[in-house]
Amino acid sequence: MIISRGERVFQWVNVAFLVLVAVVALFPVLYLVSMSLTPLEVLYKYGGFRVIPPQVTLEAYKQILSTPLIPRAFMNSVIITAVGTTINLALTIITAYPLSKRRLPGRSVLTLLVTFTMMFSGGLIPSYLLVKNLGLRDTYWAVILPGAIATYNLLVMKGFFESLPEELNEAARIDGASEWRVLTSVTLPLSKPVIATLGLFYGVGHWNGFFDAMMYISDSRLLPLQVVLRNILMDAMRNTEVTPDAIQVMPGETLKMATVVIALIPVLLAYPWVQKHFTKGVLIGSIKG
Amino acid sequence: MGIGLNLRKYAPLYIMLIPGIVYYLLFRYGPMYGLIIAFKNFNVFDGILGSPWAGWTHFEALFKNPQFTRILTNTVVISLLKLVCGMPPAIILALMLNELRGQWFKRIVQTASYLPHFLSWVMIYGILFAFLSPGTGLINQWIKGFGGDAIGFMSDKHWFVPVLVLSEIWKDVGWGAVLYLAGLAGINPELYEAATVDGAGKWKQTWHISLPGILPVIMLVLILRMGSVLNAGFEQIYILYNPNVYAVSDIIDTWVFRNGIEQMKFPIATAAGLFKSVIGFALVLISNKLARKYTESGLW
Amino acid sequence: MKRILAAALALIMIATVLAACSKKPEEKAVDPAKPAEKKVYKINYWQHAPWTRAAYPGKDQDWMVKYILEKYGLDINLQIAPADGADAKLNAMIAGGDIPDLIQGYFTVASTAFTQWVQQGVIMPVDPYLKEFPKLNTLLNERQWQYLSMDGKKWGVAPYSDKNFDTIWIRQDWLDKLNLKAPTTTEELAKVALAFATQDPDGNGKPDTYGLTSHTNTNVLMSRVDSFFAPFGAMPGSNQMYIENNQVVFSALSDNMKNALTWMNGLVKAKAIDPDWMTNKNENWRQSVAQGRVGMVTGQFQFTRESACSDCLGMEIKAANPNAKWVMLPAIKGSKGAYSAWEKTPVGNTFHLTRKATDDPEKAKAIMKFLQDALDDKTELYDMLVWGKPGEQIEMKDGKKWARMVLPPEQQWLGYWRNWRLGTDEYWQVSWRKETPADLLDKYKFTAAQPVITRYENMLKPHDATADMLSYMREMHAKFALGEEPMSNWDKYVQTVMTKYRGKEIMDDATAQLKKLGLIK
Repeated sequence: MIISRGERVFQWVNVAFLVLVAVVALFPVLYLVSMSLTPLEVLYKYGGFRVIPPQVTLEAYKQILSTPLIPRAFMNSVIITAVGTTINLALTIITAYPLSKRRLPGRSVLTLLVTFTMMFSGGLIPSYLLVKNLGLRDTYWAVILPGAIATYNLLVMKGFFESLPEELNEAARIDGASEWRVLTSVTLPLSKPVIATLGLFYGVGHWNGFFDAMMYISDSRLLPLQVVLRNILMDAMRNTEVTPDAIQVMPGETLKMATVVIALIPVLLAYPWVQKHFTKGVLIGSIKG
Repeated sequence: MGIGLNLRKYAPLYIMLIPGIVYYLLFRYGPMYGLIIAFKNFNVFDGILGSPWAGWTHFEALFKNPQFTRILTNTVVISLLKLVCGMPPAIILALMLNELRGQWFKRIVQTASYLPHFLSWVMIYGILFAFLSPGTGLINQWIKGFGGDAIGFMSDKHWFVPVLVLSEIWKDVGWGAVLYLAGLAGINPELYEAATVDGAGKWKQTWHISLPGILPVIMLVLILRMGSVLNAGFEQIYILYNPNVYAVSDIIDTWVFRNGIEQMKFPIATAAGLFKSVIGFALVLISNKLARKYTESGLW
Repeated sequence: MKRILAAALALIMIATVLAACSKKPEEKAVDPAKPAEKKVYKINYWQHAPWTRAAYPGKDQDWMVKYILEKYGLDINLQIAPADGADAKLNAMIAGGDIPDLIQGYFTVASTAFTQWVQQGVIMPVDPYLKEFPKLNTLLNERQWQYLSMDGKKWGVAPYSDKNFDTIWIRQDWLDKLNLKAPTTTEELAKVALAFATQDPDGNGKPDTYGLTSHTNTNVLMSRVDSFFAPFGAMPGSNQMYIENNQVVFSALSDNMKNALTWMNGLVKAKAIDPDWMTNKNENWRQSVAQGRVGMVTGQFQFTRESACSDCLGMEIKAANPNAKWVMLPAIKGSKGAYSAWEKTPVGNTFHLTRKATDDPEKAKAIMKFLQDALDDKTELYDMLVWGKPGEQIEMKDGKKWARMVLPPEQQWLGYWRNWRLGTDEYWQVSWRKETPADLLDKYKFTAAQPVITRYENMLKPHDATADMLSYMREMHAKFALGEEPMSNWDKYVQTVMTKYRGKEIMDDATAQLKKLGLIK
């Protein structure tokens, strides 16, 4: 294909600009990574700001990874993310699909009621009571079920389904397919980008999730990664009158940064996989004939 | 007869809705009775239903406090600024990323651009401090090097809000672009090919194909953001602010935190939350109507 | 697509199985080998302000729990408040009916949680038990008990907290270089601060040194500057209340504060204060100090200790600036007098008995008995809790106890059991490891001997309007200090506080409370 000169200039400008964006976004992150590798004494001496540390230490990582709770917490997070995201997507898909059918009676009302919950919430105490009464405390379900459908994501998916051409569905229905069939054979294959995106949103939500676990899980063997990491990070001694004694080993800056990096790595790996599904031209050939 | 036919026809769809409806009823509508805490003097032993009524007391505490006008103004100003300054960059970034040829490069740039989303504001504070603090901040050192006076970016009330808005853009533009990219991926490439054949340049293609293609997504995001116009970003502000910038950055949520949550006086927090919810929902209704009227794409 | 959905269903089933398996095994029944007469009570012990954040190995691995079970018949389930959201969680738990039996924290009468819990009957008075366990009563004197009292009853027990830790630390090497004497009054303090800022005491030719710095915190305007302002009798950004001429005085509105703010404004104008003082957070402050950016700070007696505690900067100083010589100054004299700091809340961490515990009177008694022994340094329980196992965490040497060494990571959970320590001198002598410099105890004695200002706001029930008043005061003090608001507007500011922010109401309420306590006639 012949590329016009204008097009080529545009490409270069685009690339240059995006590289700038990437650097601006990345630089502070790199700075944090470098801090996580710098030994404390060097940090104190230079006060950070050296993107390439003069000395490197893996001490912080060793310390975190050898904390008895960490491997367990990591597993917990993996399970919660995998199971949670699957449930999220399944529920979101089967709820968004009917709501996207323009002719469904009551559709507007239902959508309104669903959107209502985005803005109105009963608060912590009733939720706590609910989780307690359902017997979900100290289980993975306490973290997975309350957020099983994120309304924002639901509306996104519904919007996406609505943007798919009606003709495709009609064609399938005329062939005698049931709604379920249409959903699985026609709609979903065309929805890879949105499923991938929502999978990313839900997945990241679980991976970084902290509040529900903090509220409902007390058994330290079930805690997910973020909660454990936060406990490592948080200064136990907010009140300087408290422990004049040095039992508490203050987390150095190095350690704090290392916890951030550790939590980030799976996220880094997730996106390229997700992006594979953002292939263009999903609709080519689907309407022909 | 007509209704019976309809129901049977739509039965499979309704059946599909059942798990979702159960979820919403159980986990979202079930706990909603907690909202009445805003009207009660909540007492642990009488429980939510048994506690004595307080009427509008908590709302009065919120509305009549000497700072109310200020916190409301700040909340709206900061929130709208973040909206107006934050959405376009995310869209533009998505459009630009969409134009990239090299898949590998595209993934790298995009992953890089959304990494800041995962940093907590506590971490980001450290970075902002390193750049912007009046004494040791890099930028101020440059300014002083050129003979100028240090600027208190984070302690001066003329600079603080721009810092808030810009740092939030930095943090979230990459993540915000993900959704628009997904939308762009769904546009039929034949449209672009046809346009190229017709001689349309990049700008025309963007304006006439790309943007209309993601218009539903943009509208969705916009409408829902109207719903949280009274959430100006508590965590960020709480971490970044200091008494010298209260005047411009004290928002409803920070006030509620000091007067309600920190004091374990949760009914005030519930009342403030209810206030925000009502306004937010009204705005969603209005913007949805407007969106439907002018762009034919709304939530319902 | 069907395959994916099938896979999803399979995953869901696997997850259900996993979740079921991960449910806690049923609580083991009481040890059947127990002698029949000793009844065992299961109690939930909520630590709202734990002294450590180490990984807790779980009840089964916790030998302290076993020890307490054996000796006191209490099966303690340790509930550790999360680092973030502790208040929300505790509140939800209480509202949801899961009230712990024993709550530890820093809840004095000045905390809203305390007053709410008393009013709602969440925590119960301990007076009935003080008769049976009189030693608990002797932990505090009458005035100190006020901090835990409301409506004439006592609502918790607490050990006495330590004496003063704070004083000014100054760079002796800078004083030497500039040929200055250590300051003794606030005027001299300002002069020294200015000299540190302008005369290049570190000799590197760069204008990168200052007299003072600070860091902000969410609820105060300035931290680590107490010893500079105590001599004025007023601390910018705070509202200490004291009694003068039988009247309540709000330090934030007093002429003392005016003096303090004028003094500070002078330093700001002369650029003797680090401009980062308002944007520093704790970490930045530590770095500033360690790297030799400032010459004076308010520090604890442990300031130069090379340990990882929140007020020990020894390690940073050693790494960044090993030639720095930091020394302590006695109390500086100012317009209110010679003071080194504000009086600390004399009550240490507090322990509260809840309604859940007292529903069973025998259970409550068992808990109180345990508390009495835990807060008594003559008992074996105290030794175990605070020092640990002989041979493991502590050893005897020449008839004296020595803490062995900094606890290795896998033993740091013992910190959860140490908050019964009494702040006696013996504690300091034992608790420091062998590597602690010998003069640390002398340093503590020095700071403990410095005069402190008595204050009263921390023993009064809080008023609804206090939070708003305080935030306005903080904002205005910042403006006065920075010069954004001229001092001529001081009276207007006072007026605004008294009227718009209900300062008069709050003052009257405080007066009434103090009258009731007999501190004002």
